[in-house]
Amino acid sequence: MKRIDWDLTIGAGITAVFLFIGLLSLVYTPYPPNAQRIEIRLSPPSFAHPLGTDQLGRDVLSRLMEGARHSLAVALTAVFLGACAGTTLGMIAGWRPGILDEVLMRMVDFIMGFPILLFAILIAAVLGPGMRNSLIAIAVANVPVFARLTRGNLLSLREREFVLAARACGAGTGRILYAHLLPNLISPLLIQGTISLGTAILADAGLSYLGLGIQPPHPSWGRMVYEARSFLALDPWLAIYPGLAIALSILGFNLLGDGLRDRFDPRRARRRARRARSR
Amino acid sequence: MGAYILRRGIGLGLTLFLISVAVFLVINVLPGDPAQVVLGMEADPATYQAMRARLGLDRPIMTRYFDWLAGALRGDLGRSLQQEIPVSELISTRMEVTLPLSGLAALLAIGVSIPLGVLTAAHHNRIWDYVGRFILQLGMIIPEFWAGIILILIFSVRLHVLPAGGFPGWGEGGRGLLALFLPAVALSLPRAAVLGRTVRGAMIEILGEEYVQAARGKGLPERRVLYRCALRNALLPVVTLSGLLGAQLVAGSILIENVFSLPGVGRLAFQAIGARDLPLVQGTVVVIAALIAVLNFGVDLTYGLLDPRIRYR
Repeated sequence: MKRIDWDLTIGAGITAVFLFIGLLSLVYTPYPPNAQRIEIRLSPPSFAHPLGTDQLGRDVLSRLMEGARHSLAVALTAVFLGACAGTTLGMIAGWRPGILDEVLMRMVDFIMGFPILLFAILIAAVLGPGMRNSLIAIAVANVPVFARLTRGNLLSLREREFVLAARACGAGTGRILYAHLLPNLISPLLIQGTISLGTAILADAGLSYLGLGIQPPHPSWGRMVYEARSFLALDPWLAIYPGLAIALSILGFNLLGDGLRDRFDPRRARRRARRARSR
Repeated sequence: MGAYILRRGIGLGLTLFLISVAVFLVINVLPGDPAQVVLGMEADPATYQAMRARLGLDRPIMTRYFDWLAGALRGDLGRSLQQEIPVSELISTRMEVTLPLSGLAALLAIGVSIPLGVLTAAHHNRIWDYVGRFILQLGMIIPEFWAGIILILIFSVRLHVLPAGGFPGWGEGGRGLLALFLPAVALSLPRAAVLGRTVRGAMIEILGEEYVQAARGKGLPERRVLYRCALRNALLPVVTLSGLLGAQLVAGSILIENVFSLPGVGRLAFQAIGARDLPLVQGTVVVIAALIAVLNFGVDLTYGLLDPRIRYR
């Protein structure tokens, strides 16, 4: 009997919902996210405002929707940039072990030990706070894991026969790397990318909580939690909704990543089969 | 062991050097004139020149770096622009909050995650495993700052049992510790989740080993098998992870100190950005990064002590 892969299904479902909401906010939100109506400030959920309004009378649902878009946009862009840079570095390092490899991997280790938040503070101090600068910090923080992953896989792949065959056919190093080796690296990279998206959303939320992310009046989930802090006694839900949005979207990416890994990572698949047999 | 310590020590020195170069470069080479950043747009040329001299920007960059490095090695990180106090003095007073906070959070994370990891592994694929995994998953997805806000909401706003923030100082002992309790809980949550998962994974693997079967076979009580035979071996990956977790604790305290308005180093760094106090930003970031590097060094040494194989790699 075929078992349903719950991690994968639920993860993909949650992720799809958030992507849809983010895209939808481009063309439709119940109210303009920044429209203020002070006379209905801090109103409880109602038919007109399903999640109520905030301290300036802005519709919370609309702001959450636009927040989803910003959050996903930062996470997707940052992880994509970090993955491209990391993969390139990993390929350079893994292709020919030697001094260059040693130096590159030392640098990668160094970046890995440097927390995103600290790096973001440094950048914000010099370039000022903003979405672009938090994006740079998150992208840089994503480089090491992709570089290590690529290098590790490349070290075992480069000894395989098809590489030798390609070389015998006269393919140059660049062609072998991009046309023959990269396609073999793609699936672990995609799995890591999915997991990294969750981490990136978490990092972006933290940075925007501190005011280092996208600037007001544009809504971000992290900043919404920050602003709600002053109204905890009056209207605690204001702090709860955006936090739930952050947690749920991360859950979606985590489950999706775990599910993908279980399905496509051969080592995990074997372990899973063994578990199933022993049950 | 001596050669191993030496090798790691050289690595530590190299990392500290890289930190100083990286931070110095970001502040001084990225587009944006530090003097302009400090003064804003309205400064007239004379003020601007004076500030450049004050920051030492009229000297060549190499000279400035080595002067700064020489100062830093003596414990002199320059003076804060805003508060006219040595940066090192500001940082060391703030450490009195950050270090206990991180330490308390580390204790909480370890204290919760190890029993939880053992419990879930011992009940693998039964009800307690599912409950435990659900809790661990929650810890992975809840942002620490939001956890902090929710804790404030429950324990301060609703129940009035713990302070919502601020720090009364160590003078009154108990109250200082009480003020750090909620922040430490919030800070420890994500780390406890990661640790718990690692312990669980390692325990499941080890519980399938033959020596565990043997221990059970000779009739040792299950508790003893779990905690004496299996857990000891499952702790090695935990040690590996603890360096990374230590780094996250120190970095996470930047967020948590801001959530709970605690006068720690993280909040100092954050306030320094708002005040455009570049020497202070530079000093705090370097000190936090150096702290993490030293922590990793300590973890490496522990690891070498626990697992002799690692020393010869």
